[in-house]
This record gives sequence, structure tokens and C-alpha cells, in this order.
Amino acid sequence: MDKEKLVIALPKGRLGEKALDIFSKVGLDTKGVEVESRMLQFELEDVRYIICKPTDVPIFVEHGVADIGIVGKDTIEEEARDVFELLDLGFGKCHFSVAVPRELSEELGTPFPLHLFNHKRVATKFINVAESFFSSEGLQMELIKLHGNVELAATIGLADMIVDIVSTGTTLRENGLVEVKEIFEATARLIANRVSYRVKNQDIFALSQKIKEILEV
Amino acid sequence: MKRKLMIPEGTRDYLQEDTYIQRQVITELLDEFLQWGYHEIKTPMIEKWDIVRKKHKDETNFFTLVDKTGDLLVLRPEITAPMARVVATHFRELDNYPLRLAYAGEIFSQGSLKSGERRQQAQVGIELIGSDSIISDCEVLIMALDSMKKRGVKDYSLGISHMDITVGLLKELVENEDLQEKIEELMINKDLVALDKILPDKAKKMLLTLVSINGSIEFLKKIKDFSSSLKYVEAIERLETIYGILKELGYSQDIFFDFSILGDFDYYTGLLFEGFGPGVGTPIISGGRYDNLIHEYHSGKPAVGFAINVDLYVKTMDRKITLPDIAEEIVDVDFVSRFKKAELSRAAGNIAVIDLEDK
Repeated sequence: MDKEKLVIALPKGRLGEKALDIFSKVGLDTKGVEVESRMLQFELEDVRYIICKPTDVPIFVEHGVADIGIVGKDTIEEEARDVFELLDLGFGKCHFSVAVPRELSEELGTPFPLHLFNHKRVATKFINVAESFFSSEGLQMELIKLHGNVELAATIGLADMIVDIVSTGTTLRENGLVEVKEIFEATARLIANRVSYRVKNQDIFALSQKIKEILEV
Repeated sequence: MKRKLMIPEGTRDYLQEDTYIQRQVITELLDEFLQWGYHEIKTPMIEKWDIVRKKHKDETNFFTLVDKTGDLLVLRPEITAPMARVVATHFRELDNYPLRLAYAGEIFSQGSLKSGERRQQAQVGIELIGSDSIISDCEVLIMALDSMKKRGVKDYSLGISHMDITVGLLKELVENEDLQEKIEELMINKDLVALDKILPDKAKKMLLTLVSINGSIEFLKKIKDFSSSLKYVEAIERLETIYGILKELGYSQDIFFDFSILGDFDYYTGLLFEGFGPGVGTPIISGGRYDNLIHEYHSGKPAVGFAINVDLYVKTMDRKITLPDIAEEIVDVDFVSRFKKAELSRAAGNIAVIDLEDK
């Protein structure tokens, strides 16, 4: 069986830093590895790290160029990649929500009557998440994909509502929007390639168990 | 007007060398299978919807066509269901069995394009029909192992599973069918986080162990007492016997038991397995036992088989196959002798091309 070294995909940014912190705690070599430098690969004795955009982590893992990776559940859901989800790491907490302008919410009351909005426009960065949520509610919306500042779409009337990631809610509030429905909560996950997980099962399972123990402390 | 020179996403052209390698590999595999007594047969690339429906977990990925009469046709998404149809139509007589069939052909599906999944893939495979013996399981497993070993697939391994272990235990421990279905889906996607949340307490530890750990014969021993139901115990014992035989034949290093292998098709019943090579993120071989499939078309016949994904197989091959060189270009002022000389050279086994200049 394959005795190659483990390849780990890390996302740039805070999530990647947290992940490195955990890896070093469980005794994995992380010497000199930085997620915010210009270096994209770190070759250590027993392990190789590749640094990429958070949304690309599941892609590297799905194709097997990385054995495991750390990524937010939000990205896993939106990218809908064929990867194994091993562990909830608990950090990087945020949630997907449907948000509408405050006046609309006040006018229609709680719980918000989402069903009145069938075929209406929704702006979002997360087309797949939005689509599967609305279809589970029996609604077919006109989805508009935006690449940022999604709040704007609802405030200036491009869309009736938005679906976005919310961590503190400040951005929504500052733009006069309120959450009317939480879709799901997302945290960082440890993911693995489906073949790697089988062929390097001992290594990956042991690592996953160690991380689990540390998280439980 | 200029045309847009593109081929459909998820397809590719195979140029000289690619095509030569592919044909070489397919020929070698079919020859090897023939030595085991498996004769190649061919089925149409298009089948009626009725034949392939529900055999596959994801019908939305089918390429469908409608013919002039309004019949719904499907570009075959796999070849086992067509083989079962062949058995149920051409081989109804008892004295045909056991029946050993091989095939090589293209399969089609509208997979996930963003993952670079191919919409058209070449497959080579075998089906052993009419026996449910342990030996028939072994025969097919050894053929799968050999097709990697003898053809130079580097660092290969074969994961072995059984439907009555993971799925059997799930059905035993979780009565609610909706929940069963949901759990099975999560198991196939290997979403351990969601499984951990959804699994009822009495089933949690055992089912999580089954889908997250693999190993050799010791692992099989470890999970042996998870259930005392007849089916479960029989499955374990069957796998132990299979392991014993494969070990004696020198394959114990190449196999492991992995009960997270659940198969992409609904029709699997007993043994299940997947072959892995280095550097490819998907299995290069997948197979298993499907004792009830043929029954859906006609009378029941146990069957077991596997398919090899040719492109992935070539990718993991350690051996280099190169396009044969052209031995000589035949030049002669006499036009007729160019052809005569070339013919002689070809008769000697060379590749000979003729000078095309009319002078």
C-alpha cells in the first residue's frame, strides 16, 4: 500500500491559521508553515502543505492532489464536491440566512411568510445553497448570482431578498436588513479524499481521532 | 462563417498514442479474461429507458434520447444492467451456466462537469453469472487484483466490502425507513459529522466504526460481534473464507476490508469491492455481487462482476506503452514497385509507408 507522505490543503486566512494551530497541537510538523505568505507549498519531512483559496480546498481534495483539507461547511455545501467529511472542528462558526429589508419584515410579521415569495428574486453568492434551500421549501426562486456586497441587492431593489453568510449580523443591520430564516449553521470541517481516506486510512483516522480528543478538552 | 471548434464538455479526443495505448490495454485485458474463460460480447450503446432505470442512483445524470416513435432511450450509463438484460433474453436455458462474459465499451453520463468528470468513459469488465459460491467471489476478486498486478499498476490495493455488513447492520438497528435512507445517503457521501448527529445512540459506535476504519483480517475480527443476526455472521464468515483463500495465493498484502464501500448502484447484494491506484482520486475498478438484478428482467440468477475505468487504469500504469515507429518510407521511381516493396516489408512485420510524390 501507498506510503507516500500526507498532503494537506489549507485555506488562506484565519481558518488556515486556526487549522495550523490544531495540527501543531496534535504533534504534526508545522514548522515554518504560513498561510499568509507568498509561498504556496511547504514541504516538510512527513507532510506537505498546500495553501489555497478557501473555496478551492474541496477541489484539491476531490481530485486527490491533497489527501485532506480544512474548509468551512459553507464552502462544502456550495461547492457540492465529492469529499469525505470527517470532523466538525467547531471554529469558524457562521450561518446561512435569508434576509430581507427591515420594513418588509415588520410589515409581514413573524414567522416570515416565505411562501408568498415564490418565483421572486433572490440575490446571493451561494447559488447552490440557496437553490437547495428554497426547493426544500417547495419554492422556485429566480436566483441572481453576485460576487460581493450582496446586501446592496436587497436595499436598492435588485432582489426581494438575499441569502448570505452571517457571522455577527453587523453588516446586515448596517444595511437595513434582518434575518428572517436561518438555513443552516456552518463550522470548519476536516475533509478527506475518498481514495486517500481508504488507502491512507491509518494515518488519517489517527489524525482525525487526535484532533477530536483535543477539541473535546 | 467560422465554426466554434469545441467538443462537448467532459469529452475528449484520443490522438494516435492515446488511442493506441487504450486499444492495447483493452486487448490485453480481454485476452487475459479470455484465458479465464470469459468471452467478449457487445451490447448496443443505446438502451431503452426501462432497462437502465432505477439501476443507478442518479437518473438525472442519464443522457436521454427520444426516437421517432416516442420511445425514451438512454445512452448506457453502465454495462452491467445491459448484461443482465442479455442474460435474461439470450441465455434462459439452464445448461448455459455458469456463464462467463466480458465486455469493453463506452459508458455515458452527465457527471459533474466542474469536477472534470468525463461524460464518456471507456470500460472493460466481466460478469460471472449463475453461481453464488465463495469460489466465484474469489475468481472475480483475483481477476480484479491480477488486472492491476500483471499490467503494472503501481501501488495498487483492493478494498473489500459486503452489503450485509454496513447496510445490513443499519437495517437491523434503525427501523424507520426514511431515517435508514438518510443515513445510507450520508454514509455514501461519508459525511461523518452529520452521521454523528443523526445516528441513534445504539447504532452510533458500530456504524461509525464501520464507515471510518478499515484494515486487514484483524479488523474483520474486531467487528465480528457487532451483530448476531444470521446474515451479518454469514457475511463475516464468507469474507474470512475469502481472505483465507486469497492469503494462500499471496494477495493478503494487496487487500483490505473497508465497509464504507457501499457501491454506486442499487443492485448490489453481497460482495462489493473497489480497486485503487496511486495519484487518482477515484477508484479504478469497482465491482460486486448483484444476485437480484437479473431477476428483475427474468428468472433469478446470482451474478458477480466488475468494471475497470480504462482512462484511470492507464493513468496509474507503471509501464510505458509507446506508439510503434514507422520502419521505412518506400521510395522508388517505379510507382508499382513502391507498392510491391512496401508489401514485402509489411509481410516482414514492419510498418511501411509509401513515398507519395508522383515522380
